[in-house]
Amino acid sequence: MASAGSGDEKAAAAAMITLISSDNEKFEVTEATATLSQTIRHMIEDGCTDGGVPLPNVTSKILARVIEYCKKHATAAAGEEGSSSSFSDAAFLEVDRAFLEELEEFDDAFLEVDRATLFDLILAANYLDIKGLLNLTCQKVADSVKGKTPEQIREMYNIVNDLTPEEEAEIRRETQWAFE
Amino acid sequence: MLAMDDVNDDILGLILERIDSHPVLIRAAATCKRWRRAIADAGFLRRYRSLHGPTIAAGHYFNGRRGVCWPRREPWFVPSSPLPPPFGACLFSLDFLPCEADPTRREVLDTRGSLLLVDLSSGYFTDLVVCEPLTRCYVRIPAPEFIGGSFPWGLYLIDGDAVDEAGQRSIGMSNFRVMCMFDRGDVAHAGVFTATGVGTWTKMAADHIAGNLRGTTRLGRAGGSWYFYVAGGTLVALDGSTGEFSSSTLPAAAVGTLLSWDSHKWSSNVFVTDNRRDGMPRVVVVARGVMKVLARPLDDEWVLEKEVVLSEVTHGLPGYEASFFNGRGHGPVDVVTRGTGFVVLSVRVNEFGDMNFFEFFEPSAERWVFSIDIETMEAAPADAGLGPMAYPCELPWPPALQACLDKEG
Repeated sequence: MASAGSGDEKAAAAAMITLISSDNEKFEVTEATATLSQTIRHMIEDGCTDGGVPLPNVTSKILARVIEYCKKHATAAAGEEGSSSSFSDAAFLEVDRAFLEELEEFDDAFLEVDRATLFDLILAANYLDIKGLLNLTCQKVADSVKGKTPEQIREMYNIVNDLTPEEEAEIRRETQWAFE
Repeated sequence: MLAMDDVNDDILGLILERIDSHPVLIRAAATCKRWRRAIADAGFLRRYRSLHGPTIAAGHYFNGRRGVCWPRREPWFVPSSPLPPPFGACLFSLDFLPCEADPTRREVLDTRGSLLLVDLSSGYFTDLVVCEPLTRCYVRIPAPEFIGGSFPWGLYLIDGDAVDEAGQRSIGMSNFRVMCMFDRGDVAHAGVFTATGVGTWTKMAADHIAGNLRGTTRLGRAGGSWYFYVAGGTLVALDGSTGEFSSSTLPAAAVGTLLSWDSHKWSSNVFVTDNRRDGMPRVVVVARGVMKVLARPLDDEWVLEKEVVLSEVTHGLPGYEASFFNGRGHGPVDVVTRGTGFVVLSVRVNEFGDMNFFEFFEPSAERWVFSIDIETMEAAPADAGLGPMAYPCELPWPPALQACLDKEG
């Protein structure tokens, strides 16, 4: 138990960061996981992460999901970096493809959330500046309006219709073909 | 509960620019004023176009083949990728055009953006209309009177005169030009019809442009320009945006298997198209069972970009037989349809080669037809009856989003 692993454990322990949600829950994550967030990366670079990183805009429920995403994608990123030297080209491609497939499955499952959570995730991804997560969640919303009428889109996202019936008719006349 | 109203304009922009279908974007712009303003924003539309350029391409119009055994038919539309429901190819039907003449006499002469230039009485240019199928609008273009006894050899749609604040030209039903090319004496002339203002033909001489265009051959279109061949390896391009001509020279060294560029002036196996990714022109040469693609990187010299042996790229297709390509003179390969980004080729499948008399009456039975994608050089089965040219049609861009914008902010 002691010998080989302890050095790595120490190195990992040294690189742990504490994230504190708006409802004061603490999350211990590795630096590799935390730095998927550009916001936290800058904080680490500026040396202001001692005593934990308070995230007043993110609840514990959402932060737990964000960390789940970052853990998975940080592992994938580390796997890619490590494998390039230790595998032959063919093996590398094989591993790479398996990683990507697994990651895609993870992302799909990750997005199986209600709309309120989806918007919470978008706001958190934007605040923490996590490009991949922001892209993923925005794409999910964009895909959801496909095949929907404006009325259905409003219903889906609680959007108040501030167009008068006359204005709606005028808009439809302008691009009639898209509404037929 | 968080919802769409809680996201700031930057995030809203990130969501809207990920809508990867143009008609879906138009519908989203009818959701509320905030979404409408965000989508109609000039900066947003520019970014959207650069992200989703190909989704604006709707498909191609075809005139069909003309010949003894090919019954005349109305021009028809083939979408480049299935439009998301409920939008269908019927949106692109030409059934709204006046039909004093037999609809099967209609011929698409040119397309640009979402507009078509159609000759209603095939081949006479006396009954011209410019139309937009999506909005089911058309305007008649008067026959150019200044031509006198000269017969026009080409009519082309050009962007309108109006230039937007970013210096870009565009084309729409109230903003287009038609250029008519004809020869008089030893000089090529051009007439331009402008839709804005009075809408009349004005005349210009085309002799000073880039060599004399008289007796030129039309090689095809690429990236919104038409290309013509003038003797001695000179290519002349008509810019569909500005309506101006420019020229370049095909290098003698790139001729390869051809005798000379001039020797193929009147055959269809040298032509110009583009690849769908970059929209830059490519010169394609089909000869002796080999297809070569020349590109002109950095607007410099034409250089060989790709070369494929047709028997190799097609051997996985249904109906392939090795004998198609190794008959006399490697079996003649004909160019059936010149598209943008693709070409349809055929080989004669019987051993009489180019002597076959029956082929004239029964072409489909005697030919094996396939298409090649100019970008990937991959082969696919194809329709033999599309006609000599594919005319690309786009969805209107920028989209018409003027209504209900100026009332707030």
